[in-house]
Amino acid sequence: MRFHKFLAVISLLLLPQVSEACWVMWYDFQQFTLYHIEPKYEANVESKGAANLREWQAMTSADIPLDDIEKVVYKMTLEEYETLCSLERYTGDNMFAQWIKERDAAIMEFLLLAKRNERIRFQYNSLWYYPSMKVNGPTTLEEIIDKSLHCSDSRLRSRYMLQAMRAMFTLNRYDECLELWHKEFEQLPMDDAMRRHAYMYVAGSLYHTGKVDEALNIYAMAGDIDSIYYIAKLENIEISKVALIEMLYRNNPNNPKVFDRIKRIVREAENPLFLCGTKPHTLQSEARDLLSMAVRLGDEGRDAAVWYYTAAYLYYIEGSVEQAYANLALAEQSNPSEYMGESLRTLRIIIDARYAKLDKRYEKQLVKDLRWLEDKSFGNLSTLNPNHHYDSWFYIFPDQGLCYWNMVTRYIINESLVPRYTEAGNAVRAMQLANYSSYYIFGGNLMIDVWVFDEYFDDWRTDRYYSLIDYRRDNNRKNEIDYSTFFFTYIDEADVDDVIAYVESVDTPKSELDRLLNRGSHLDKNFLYDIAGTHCLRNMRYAEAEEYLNKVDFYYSNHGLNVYLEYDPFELERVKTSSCDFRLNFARKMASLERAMERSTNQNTRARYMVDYAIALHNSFGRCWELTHYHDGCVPHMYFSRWWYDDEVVVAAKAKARAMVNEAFALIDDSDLAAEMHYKFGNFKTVAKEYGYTKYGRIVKSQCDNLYDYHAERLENRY
Amino acid sequence: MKRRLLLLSSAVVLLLSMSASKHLAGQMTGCQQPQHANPTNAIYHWKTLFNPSAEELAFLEEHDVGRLYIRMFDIAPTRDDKVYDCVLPAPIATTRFDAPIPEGIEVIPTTYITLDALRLMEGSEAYYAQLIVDRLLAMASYNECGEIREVQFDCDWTESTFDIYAALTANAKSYLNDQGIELSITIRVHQVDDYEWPAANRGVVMLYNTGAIKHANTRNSILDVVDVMPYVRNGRNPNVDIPLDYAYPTFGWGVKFRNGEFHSIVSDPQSATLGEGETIRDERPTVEEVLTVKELFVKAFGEPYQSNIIYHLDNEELKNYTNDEISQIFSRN
Repeated sequence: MRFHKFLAVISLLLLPQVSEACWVMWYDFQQFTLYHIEPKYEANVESKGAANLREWQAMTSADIPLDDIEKVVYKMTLEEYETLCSLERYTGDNMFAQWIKERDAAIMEFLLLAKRNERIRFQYNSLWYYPSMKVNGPTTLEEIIDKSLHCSDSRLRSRYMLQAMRAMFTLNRYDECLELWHKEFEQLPMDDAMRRHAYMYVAGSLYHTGKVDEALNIYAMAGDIDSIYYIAKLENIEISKVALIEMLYRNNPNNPKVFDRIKRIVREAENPLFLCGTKPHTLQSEARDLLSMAVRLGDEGRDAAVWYYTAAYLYYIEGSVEQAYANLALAEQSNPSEYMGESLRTLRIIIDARYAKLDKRYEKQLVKDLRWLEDKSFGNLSTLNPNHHYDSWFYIFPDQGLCYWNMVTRYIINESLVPRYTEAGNAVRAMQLANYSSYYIFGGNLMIDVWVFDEYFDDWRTDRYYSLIDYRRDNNRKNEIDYSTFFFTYIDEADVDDVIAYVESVDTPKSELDRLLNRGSHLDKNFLYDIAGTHCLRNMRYAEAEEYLNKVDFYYSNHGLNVYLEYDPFELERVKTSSCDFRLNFARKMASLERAMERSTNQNTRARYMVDYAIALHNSFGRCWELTHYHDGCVPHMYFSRWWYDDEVVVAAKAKARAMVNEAFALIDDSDLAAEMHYKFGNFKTVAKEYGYTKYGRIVKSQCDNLYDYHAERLENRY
Repeated sequence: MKRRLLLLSSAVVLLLSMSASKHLAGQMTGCQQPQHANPTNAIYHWKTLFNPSAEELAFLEEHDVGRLYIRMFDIAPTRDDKVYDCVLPAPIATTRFDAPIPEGIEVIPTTYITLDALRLMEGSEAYYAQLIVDRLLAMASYNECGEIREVQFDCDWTESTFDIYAALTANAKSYLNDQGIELSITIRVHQVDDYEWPAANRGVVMLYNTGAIKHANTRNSILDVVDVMPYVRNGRNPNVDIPLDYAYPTFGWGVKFRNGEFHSIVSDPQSATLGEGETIRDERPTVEEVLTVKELFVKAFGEPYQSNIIYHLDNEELKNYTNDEISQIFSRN
């Protein structure tokens, strides 16, 4: 088997779409922003690149798809293009390549020059640049300029001039750039793509020739905040980002960069909110400036819903609940668009989940809110991650956000409601919510993308796609998904009585909220009873464990879990065992030993039972940890961090085992049994010294060299 | 002067004792080097402008110099203005070629890598190896340096930077060897008995800058037989078996101290003015010292693989040595 690391990565897919994949143990809220504003401004401005493609289309043929043009103009490398140039005949399926190869040598030649210009400029911008470095054809920017300025093809003139300007700019010939602008570009229509390209070089040239204000003016008009910041840094100009954003907004309310910047500021303010869980925090100065601006612009009336929404969300982040609600109300009264109306409702749900009193009235509202979010989630599953404007590498996880609404649902439950219900002592409700949060999205007919590590290629790759049901049924792999969700992590670390209360409650929903949560939860009895039984094993409640584990199907306990038993818990040494029904068998035997110890009247017999019990108890938290846990260490989920190795449950169990062994040895008054027990624990010296006349004493004496030379008092080490 | 004579005589004693010692005799035999098919004299060009004077061209011709190690650029941490707040290893002090390479001379493009730059390359050694090699070859090509058969890296690596430098040279060697070009590295005297050297096809032992320049008690930081002797005694570590050439100093300077503390290097110590508490240590190895060290090395490590190399091509320095002295430095047994 080439790929031994298995199933470390899985993702969810919407049928039939294939999406990105990812790591089980990551937690995704840091990848999202809850801030959700209408992207209406972005649609109004066509990028310079798109306009250029359409101009190439107009210059060649309307039948040529823009994608084909883009592939040649923007995506083809210099080497690929040079190969295209050198071909006698193009036989590929790119219509643009075919057109220029067969019908338009001038365009062919121009694009070669443009691509060479880009290559040389790229190298020139490197500190390592030295002319003639791996470039065929014209090796200097001077040659590019010369060739471009001598262009006589009127169709391509402005394009050649732009190439000349780019090369001049790279060579720091700023005065010539400005001259070329006045001569060749200034009189072109304002929306001409070449003029728009050249304008940015003009701004740069003005800056480099000391005309800082004029350069800033051009950048401001173009909404190029990045260049303004860059120049401000270089010039040591103190500039408030928010003031700049306001200036740009007032100059052009549709400038897409305004809200892109605002999103970034909000996103930065959000970060600690997610990292600190439920704790609000003080806003940094930039976010505070934005808050003041948002309130002010909201009062002015234009885009009031967006500005009040921004203010309400920032107030929420810093924990100013009243102001958050007040601004939210103002936004709701400001005639919001349908899109913003949904964002406002979402924010109200978020704030309520964090601050509303957890009473029946709230739970009624919660039912409505969750239903609405469910509808939105399922309705938007095709729009995977609408918020990845900030983090382009966004991954989708099992139990993680598939779309904004799914993320919001999980945020309000995982970050607000579960901690709050837990704190209020209602762990059952917390478990219901956690279960719903992890599983309701599977109602959207999702597929799971299972990855394996392929050693041959030294990389991860998709093994296959499953439905969750098929995934659980697959006997060839352990069930990693159900045992690493937010719900599992929560219930695995919950109190045993709370777990039992939850498991017992699922069949008898009492309220509308119970029914809604149950409907979206994973309520498979095998899954829940196994968890309850394992909790009982962990808490040494073996009779109860037997009761719950007895209800788990044989098939599930042998094929549905994420762990299997390797060693026999009742043996002192490592002895391989069958893992068939291992938890149930263990519970039965331990419960039976408990009863036997209880009933036994012979103290030697009782001591023997106690030793067996102690060994198994100790092993069930040691080498046979699979009996009491689902993970060796902590659950691979970043939300919780309980570390089982030194957990108090484990420490107490091991201490109890040791005490029982000591007590058992004290009880034994039969020399043969005492010798046998000491022999079993490797106390050969004691066997030889104190019980030399017994059967085991004789064995030790006759084989002393092989039996640790009498001094292997290894009771402690056995564990 | 008496002290200098004493030291020279102690070196001679060492040479005699080396010849007498069976152990060292065996070691010397073991350190015989392979010999290049075309042995020739070589010299370093260590300036930022390549425009040899008539005297320098005559020097090359008179001494039959067949190989020229030209420092093309240094590599040092450099702030990249195009990337805000970013300091990266980058070429500085690139040599400008105002004159053609004299005919018949093989050029070995050379670069000096500072330790600070080397540290910045950690983790990206392969990337930088290629950048450095590409730039050296691009410069050689652009400036018509002829066919390149060898490229040299010069770096005073330390224990803490060894791994980075070793990774850098390993990558560069592989990249160069694929193009049929060899990589050579410079080796300081104190590194000759190291257990391991960075990967290279050949090496040049720099028999200069052997002492601590900033120490007031140093006699001559450029070359002192006493500094060299310990490394000659130990001989060459058998683990490192690349062919070696030797580079000898033909330059001098003054080292100025103020109140016993190092102050600066003075190019012309004779005409320098001294303030209160200032002294100058005049450093220029005599030809006797150079030849003594040469003999020590040849006895311990064998004849150079291809060249005795002089550092460096500068008539202002070379005029301090007679033609005959230079010939003795270049000569092979």
